Order: sequence, then C-alpha cells, then structure tokens
Amino acid sequence: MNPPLLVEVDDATVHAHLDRVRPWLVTTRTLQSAYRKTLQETADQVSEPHIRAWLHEIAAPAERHEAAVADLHRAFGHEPESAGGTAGGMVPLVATVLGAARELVGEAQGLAAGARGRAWRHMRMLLLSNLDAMSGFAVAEQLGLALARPAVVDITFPIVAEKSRHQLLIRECFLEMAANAILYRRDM
Amino acid sequence: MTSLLPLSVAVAEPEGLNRLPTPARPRVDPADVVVPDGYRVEVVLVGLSMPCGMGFADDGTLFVLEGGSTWPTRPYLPARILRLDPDGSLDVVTEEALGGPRHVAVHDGALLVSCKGGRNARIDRIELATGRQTVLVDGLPNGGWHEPGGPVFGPDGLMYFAQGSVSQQGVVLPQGFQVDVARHIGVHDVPGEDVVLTGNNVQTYDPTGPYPYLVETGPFKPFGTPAKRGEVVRGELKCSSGLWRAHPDGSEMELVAWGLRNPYGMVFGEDGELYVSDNDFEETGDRAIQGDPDRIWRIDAARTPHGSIDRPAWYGFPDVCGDGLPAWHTSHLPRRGRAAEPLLENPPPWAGPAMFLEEPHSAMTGLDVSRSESFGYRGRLFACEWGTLAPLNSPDPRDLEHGFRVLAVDPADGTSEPFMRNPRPGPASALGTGGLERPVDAKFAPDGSLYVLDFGVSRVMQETQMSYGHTGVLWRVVRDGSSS
Repeated sequence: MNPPLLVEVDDATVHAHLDRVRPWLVTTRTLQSAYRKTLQETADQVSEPHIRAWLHEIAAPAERHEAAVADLHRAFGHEPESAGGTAGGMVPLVATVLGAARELVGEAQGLAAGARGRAWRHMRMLLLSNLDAMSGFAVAEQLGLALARPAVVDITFPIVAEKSRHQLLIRECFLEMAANAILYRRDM
Repeated sequence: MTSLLPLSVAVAEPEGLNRLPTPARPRVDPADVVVPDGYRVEVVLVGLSMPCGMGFADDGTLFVLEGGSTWPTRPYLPARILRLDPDGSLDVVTEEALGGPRHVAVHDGALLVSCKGGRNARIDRIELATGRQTVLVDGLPNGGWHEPGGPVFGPDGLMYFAQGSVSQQGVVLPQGFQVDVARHIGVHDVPGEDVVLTGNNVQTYDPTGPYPYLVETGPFKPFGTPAKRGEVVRGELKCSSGLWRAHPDGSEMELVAWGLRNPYGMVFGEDGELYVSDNDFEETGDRAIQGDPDRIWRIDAARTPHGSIDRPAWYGFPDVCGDGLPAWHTSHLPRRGRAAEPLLENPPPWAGPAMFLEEPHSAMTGLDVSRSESFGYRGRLFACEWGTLAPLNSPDPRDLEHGFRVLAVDPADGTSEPFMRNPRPGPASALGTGGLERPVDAKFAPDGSLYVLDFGVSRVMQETQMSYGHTGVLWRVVRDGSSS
C-alpha cells in the first residue's frame, strides 16, 4: 500500500493560494467603497422624492457590505488589519480616487451624449460601479469554492444576491430618469 | 491550449488526513466508511478538484479525470487528466478545456476520453507515448446539463459511448438558465428518429430578457420556440440522449439507442451485456415529475451485429419514466411545479423494463463489474450513487437521504445490497465524519481491488447548489479478510 497523496492541499500550496486571494479582497473593498461613496453622493443629488428615498434605502446595506470584507479576510484565514498591508491601508484613498475618476468620465460621457442632468449622469456611474463591486464579491465566492471554504460562501452569497436586487433598482431609476435628462435636458 | 501547470503533490503525514486545510472537508478517515466484513478501506488521493471518472491500464496505471466545469458549472478549476503510476507517483498527462474529461478508456497505447465540452460533447484520443491529441467523435449535442457516458469496449471490439439529453425535463426551461440558455443560445434536444409532436408546449418566462416575459417552448426546440401539433422533427445520428457504437477510430458510428436521460455509467458485464446507469426527472419547475426512479438499463440492442440496427431502441426520454409509466401518470404528478403533458404523438416502442430501479434522486453515476474471485461479488455491478440534489430538485424529505454510497447489483435478478456507505445516510460533511461524500466512479484495478472516486463536497440548499474544489478523494477497497 502506497501512502496517501495530497493533491494541492499541502500547507505550502494552500498558503500560496490563500496569499493570492488577499489582493483580490483589497480590490473588492476598494470597489465596494467607491460604490458606497458614489451612492451616498448621488442619493443626495436626486431631487425626485421616490428615487431619492429608494437610493437612501440601499445606502445602509452598502456600508454593511463594505464592512463584510473584513469578515471575508477572516474566512480565508487572514487577519483583516494586516490583510492588505500597505495596499489595505490605501483603500479609502484609492476608493476616493476611483470614485472621482468615474465621476469625471461619467460627466464627460453624459455631456457628450447631450444629457444635462448631473444626478442622472451619476446614476449611470452608480449602475456600473455596483456591477463592478458585485463582481468583486462574486469572484471572492469562486475563490472560496475553489479553496473549500464554506464560510466565505456564507458571506458572499447573500451579499451578491442583495446587490443583484440593488442593481435592478438602480437600473430602473436610471431608466426612469433618462427621458427627462436627455429630451428635456433637466435634472431630477 | 493552456500550458500545463506543475502539480503540487505531497505525501500525507500520518495525522495529516485528520486536519486537512480544506474546511469544507477537514477530515478523511477510512474508519468512517462501512464495507462488509473481510474488506478494508484505504485512502489513495486527497484534494482532487471535481473528479468525474477514471480508468486503468493493464499495468495498473490509473488515469484520474478532474472535470473542470462540472456540477454546478462553477468553480471552474483545471480540467486535468492525472496519471497515478503503480509505484505511487502522480503527474499530469494533459489538460482539457472548460467542460472537461468525464470518462476514460485505455486502448491501444492511447487514452480515449469523453469530454463534456460545451454546446457539443466529444471523444478525444491522446497518445500516451507522444501526447498527440486528436478528436475521434465530435458534435454530440450537449448544451450544459447532462453528461457523456463511456467510452467502453464491448466483446465485439467496438467502442460504445453515450450522451445525455440537452434539456433536463424534455423542454428547455428557465430553471437553471445559466447552465444552458444563458451560455448556449439556441440549444435543444435532437431525437434519434423521426418523431411527431403533440403540439403541447410549456408556457413559462424568459429570465434572460430585460423584463421576464412569457414564452412558449416545445420539445426539440430552442427556448422560446413553440411546437405545432402534428409537426415532424427529423431524427439524427448525432442526437441527444443517444448511445452509439463505432470502430475504435470513431468510424462507422451507429446509433444503438436513444431516450436515455443521463447515461453516466456504462460497463459490459461478465455476461457480455451492456449496462447503463441513468438518472430520473426532477420534481421542480415548469415540467415537474414526481418519483421517477433512477435505473440501470440492459441495452439489448448492443448484442446485435454492427451496422444491423434499422431502428434504435428507445428508453423513454422525454415522455416515459424509468418505471415505464408516462411522465403525466397519477403516480408522477408533482407536489410542486407544473405537471408534464405528452410531447410525442405515437411514441416509439419502449425498450424497458430496466434491469434495476433505484430510489429517485440517488443520482446513479459510474459503474464497473467485479471480475475476480479474489475480490468476491463476481459478476456484480458496482454502482456509484453521487447522491441527492434535494431539496433543490424534490420537495420529498425522503429524497434528502438517497445516494452517497456504492451498491453491488446482481444483473441476473436485479437485486442489490449496499457495499460501501457511511454509517448513516447522507454525505460525510453533513454527518460530521471523515467518510464518503459523493461517489462518482468505481473501477476494479488489475490486482482485483476496487477504487472508488469521490467527487467531494457539493452542498445543496433550497435555493442553490455549491461544489467545493480540492475536496475530492480516491478510495481503495481491498479484500483482506479483516472484520469490522
């Protein structure tokens, strides 16, 4: 009888794989943080009372999802404080820069398209930003599945589901504001 | 083709199997697996990712297939063909693409490997001496759900292989749309002979549109395309739910049978008959069917001479359950979801009954036959049961415990007994033990011992199913006269 063999589950390989997860979690935090900032700013800009209320409703979950990245680090066996090292400490700054860059791009694209509504142009950025952040959590889930970590999936699955619902809401708001923004050239 | 990654392999320390770095399966322990007195269980490999099948060379070299995109389709990990030499060394022969290798036969210095592919399944030939790879058979309609069976070689020297149905329930439906509708646009079943349709369609919704809107879909039609009453759909050699034979180079392919929903396990018994495992309909969604048994068919048409089949045998898909009753029979009316209606007008004669019927949702998979007195059970089929997908595909609480074991089935009279199982029903991860998760394939080694491939952890909940990489295990069962 030959001794049992471990296929990619020896300590060295597992640690190497787990180390490769860290930068993605930092990216996920950055994307979610940028989305949360854009959401908060956009919600305050919208004057239409229903849409404004809907956007404020999803702001609290966005903060909760951002905080859950620390739980994800722990589920992968990392210490959140040291998870990103220097990169982790840069998250707020990078998220702010990312949000600002998206805002600029959105302004330029929106103006080029003839839309005058600032809130609507930000809604478009919000649509893309949530999709990006949602993908960050979904990718983390794939890594959790690949590395046999159910605790990761327990965190990501409800977040991706909730963010998918939020994506539908943002899309509906974006589309509802479109005719006013483009045809009537007014903000809402 | 991507370049081969180096394989990280280490010998397990004596206590290493009790503290694995894979929380989904933290422990593997042969003592938690029940086999009859006189047999002993050993662990061979730990950490496989979505293993689906295996095959021995005459010298005892074992080829183990990691399936890539499997059940569910994610996570997609490398779809590798591994080689375990008799001396215990392990390496990678090659890597297949997305829907990866499922079964392998070692034949004439080459591996003949069925690959699920994506839209179409195929059989590859890989020369062991050079690694040169050619496609022997391609274009078997797949579409994402059901699996290839074989290749296996018959007493006639021919290669037998199969491919399950494209749709789960006889019509392409929105349930699990990310598997088929979202990625294989326009896929549909293809009959093995000309069929006349009743015109019954399934009314449902399109989950891929910007707003879910109503659509009508008929059998053998892409999602959203209705059938008309009296419409004739032409049969094709490369149908779905088919079973074929051909020369080992893939030439002179002949359709032997069709109507097999998911013919995953195939083996020629000691009696020279071809036996094929097959999975039941699901009790969920827009064409739901209750209590369809899993089964093992004896393919009588495989006894006929090559090239002599005028009309392939039909085993029931999409209208007849494993017990021979129609899918809309009172006993098969669903407790959830919408009941089935007849799809085929004047269906072909049914080729059943099955040699063996098993509890619904046992998910019968790989098969082999004991060919030695030294192991015992000579002539019995060793049938793996991957285990239930309930509550996802059945509301019946009894279905929660079906499968997760290896049966010894006597093809002479259709009786069976559990051969390898956990002390209680269910997968080890649910029981908190180091035993079996989901047996997917069984093969007897040239030395007479039984190897059982364990897919690993696949958690099923009401709303989803999640499978975990690096949780697959290769077990070995030897007869040594020990008592439990």
